Amino acid sequence: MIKYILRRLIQAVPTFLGITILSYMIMWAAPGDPVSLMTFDPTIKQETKERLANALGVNDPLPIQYLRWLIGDEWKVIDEDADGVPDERPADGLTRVRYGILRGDFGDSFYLRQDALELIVQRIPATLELSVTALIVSLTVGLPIGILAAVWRGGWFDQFTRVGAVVGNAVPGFWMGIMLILFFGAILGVLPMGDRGCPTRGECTPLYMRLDHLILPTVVLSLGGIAGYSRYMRASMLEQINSDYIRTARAKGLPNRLVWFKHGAKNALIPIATFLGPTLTGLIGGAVITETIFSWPGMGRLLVSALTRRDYPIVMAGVVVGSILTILGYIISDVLYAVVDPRIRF
Amino acid sequence: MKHFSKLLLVGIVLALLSLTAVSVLAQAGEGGVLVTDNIGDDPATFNPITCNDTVCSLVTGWLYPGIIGLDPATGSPAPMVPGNVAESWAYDDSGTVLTINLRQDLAWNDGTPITSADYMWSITAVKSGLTSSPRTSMFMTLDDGTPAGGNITNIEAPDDYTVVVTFDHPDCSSFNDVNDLPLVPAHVFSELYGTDYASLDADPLAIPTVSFGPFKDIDFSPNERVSLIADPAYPDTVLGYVSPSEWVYKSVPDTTVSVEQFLAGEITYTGIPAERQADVAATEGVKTFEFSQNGFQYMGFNLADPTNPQNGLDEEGNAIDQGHHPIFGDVRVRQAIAHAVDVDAMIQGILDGRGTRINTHTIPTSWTYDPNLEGFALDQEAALALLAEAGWVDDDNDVSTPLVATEDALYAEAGTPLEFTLQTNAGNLARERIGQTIQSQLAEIGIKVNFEAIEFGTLVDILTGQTFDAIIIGWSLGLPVDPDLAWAYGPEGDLVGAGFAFTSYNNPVFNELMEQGKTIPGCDIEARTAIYQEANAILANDLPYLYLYAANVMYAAQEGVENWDPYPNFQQWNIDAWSVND
Repeated sequence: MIKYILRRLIQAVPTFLGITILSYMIMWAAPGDPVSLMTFDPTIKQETKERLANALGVNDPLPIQYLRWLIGDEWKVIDEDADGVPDERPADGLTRVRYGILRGDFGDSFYLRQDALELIVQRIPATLELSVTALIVSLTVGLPIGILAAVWRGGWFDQFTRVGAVVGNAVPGFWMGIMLILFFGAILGVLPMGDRGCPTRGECTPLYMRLDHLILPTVVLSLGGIAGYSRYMRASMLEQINSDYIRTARAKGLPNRLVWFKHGAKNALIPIATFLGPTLTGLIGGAVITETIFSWPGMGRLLVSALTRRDYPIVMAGVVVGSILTILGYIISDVLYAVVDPRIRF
Repeated sequence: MKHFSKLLLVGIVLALLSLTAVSVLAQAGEGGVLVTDNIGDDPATFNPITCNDTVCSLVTGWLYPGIIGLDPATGSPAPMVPGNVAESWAYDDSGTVLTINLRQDLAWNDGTPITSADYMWSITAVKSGLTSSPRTSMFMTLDDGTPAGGNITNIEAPDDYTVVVTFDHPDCSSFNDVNDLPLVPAHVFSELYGTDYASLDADPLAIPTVSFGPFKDIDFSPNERVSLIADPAYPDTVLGYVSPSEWVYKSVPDTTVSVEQFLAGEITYTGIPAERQADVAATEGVKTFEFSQNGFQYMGFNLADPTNPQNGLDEEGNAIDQGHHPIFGDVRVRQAIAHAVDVDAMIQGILDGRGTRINTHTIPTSWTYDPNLEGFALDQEAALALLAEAGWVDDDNDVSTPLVATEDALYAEAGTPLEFTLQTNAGNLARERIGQTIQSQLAEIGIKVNFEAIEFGTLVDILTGQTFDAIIIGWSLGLPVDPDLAWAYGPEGDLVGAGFAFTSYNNPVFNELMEQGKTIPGCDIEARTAIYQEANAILANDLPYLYLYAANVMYAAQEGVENWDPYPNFQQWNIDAWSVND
């Protein structure tokens, strides 16, 4: 197993590099440029814009920009006293020696001027708070629905949840979010319309003291998961229900509850394990929209704003974090499959 | 008895004083928490020297004084404006030396007097060229000799309360540059940064320990809020004390949510977007203030060849042949469009009547506004006549197809259909509706408009790259009003990829008027007004833009906010006097 994991990790390296090259090229080729957006002000003169573009390094050719981002640029500057500051003072304070993402330096945000990875890491707790809650809700609601839909196949519950799953998958999160805010926040006034519910000053209070703030974003974020899990679980459960061992169990006179939940559902869960990894990635991806709508201070909001501002270091840090999570998610899924299904051996 | 009377008098005075003190103490900082919305990003920095966006400007504006304040009632520079340090100023006879005298009664909240050294620290840091501040544009050259494009050659402080600014040449517009930088506590900044000005960018969110303003002590939570508490040491208050206890700048995703949060009472005061102004104004429990926007919306035409964008001038300052746009290169087509677009109906339909039509690059609140300047009247026949004169005709007698160019067309090949692409930024509902309105109204005179709403960054790329046909966007005019428009219509500002004179309009008479307007001796307002009105009349006829409207802006506050007394563009001028009653 360990050999298998190591092999998968080694195989992931070229995948990861491929993702970074493609992402960097797409980002670079996309219209819009960070300096124009940062200086969209008639009082800022052309000379200042040029200084800024040079300082940010966006005037360099694409391969140089990519290499600087990947492996750093101390090979480009003279720093005899090794203090991390080029001996020849750069045009302004935005320039420093970069060490590249391979050495953990993701560069500084063009706009926020702080370490891009640090900005993402700062926001991960809020994102996890929302994503993990949404995952728990997706599983605890979606799986039982799937089991019951399979057990009552063709019945009204099955039909109802089938339509519900289609709607849950089809309704865009941003629209659903706005509708929930308007209905529960603005019209009924029973739930907060956004934010994490922390006090206006000081540390945030524990989660259990502000659960009301979590309800609407969790509903939006978990809707797709509930829809997906219920359909996967239904299909998997139906496969089990039609198996010989279930027929045998029923022939032996075991009560339906035991047959379905103890035997059928247990085995039906095995293929579901393979969805866990990608689900994690999907939740974080979905959080990008949900966090923006609900003023949730996670990394999703940061990434959306970085995209609109062409804040390349943050966008690429987001791509790296997302790629690593995706790659790890798939590896975890495969490993989980082997763990839960004794027939699978690597 | 004599002593007794004196003692009694002293006693009474002391009692009154203590009562007053108790009363002030009872009210200072007890005005409640003021919450407003931030629909933008987080502040990029809390350092006023490197701050370059409205979000950080608002926060640092509570913490650092400006040098010359704007009178909130007029929007013009004025001496002794609370929160600012200029007591008076004067130009010398040459118009190139500006001497500013500072107030001597102000101190930072640690008790250190505010002096010219505090202004000079900001100036020295930015002029070094080592910071990321975009305000280098105020200087002619930086310390290392790099040209920076500005007009200020030197700023010095002969004593603690005098600042002398020297300009390269007389330029009435350069006065505003002096106010680009605030004062910072030099004694603190020197200790923190020394002369390593580049290190100002090392920790942009460093929390200031010493400040001067109604609020202090930033508490920042990314993507959530910025909170400041009242500073009882602030002397420039309206009531003699700072009333609100706290000011919170709360992150909100967009104006839809922000208005709902305001109506639900979660936000104390906010700006209301055009599409919600009518229903918010009619809502009980809120108070509103409406005024004309300090800016306007327009449709900009590309007058040059969009397939081969060129700068207006070469390196020697000679005009470059930029070619002509096949449609908009001819002023008659632009004028025909002005005749065909019903701006008044647009204001009624899009803004519910909450806006003012404009005919040139000036709004009614500007001192250069000419109320007698008339625009093009709505007249489809006149539009068609102008198009026919310009060589565009209906060759198939079918109004559903666009007109085509004849041999008489100035810059279009014969047979070219009268069709162009009109773009704006997606998500701006008013601009999207302007585009749809123009599209349908121009179709009535045989002009086919392909309207697109695209992402803002992409639009900026197309705009500054000068590859567009026509574009709908707007200008915010800033304060104090600067009537110089060379940046928008002069060849110096016509820089592909960077400049804002992206229409490539170049009229020598207009350019000469701009030059006269900013160099007139003594910056005489009356003489300048005449010059700028003449220049604006030229724009109104030449139409590099189709000038549309200045929309109304609405501020709103909860009914319980006392002393809320906004002026146009200065909603929060007396925020230290506000209090919230639940």
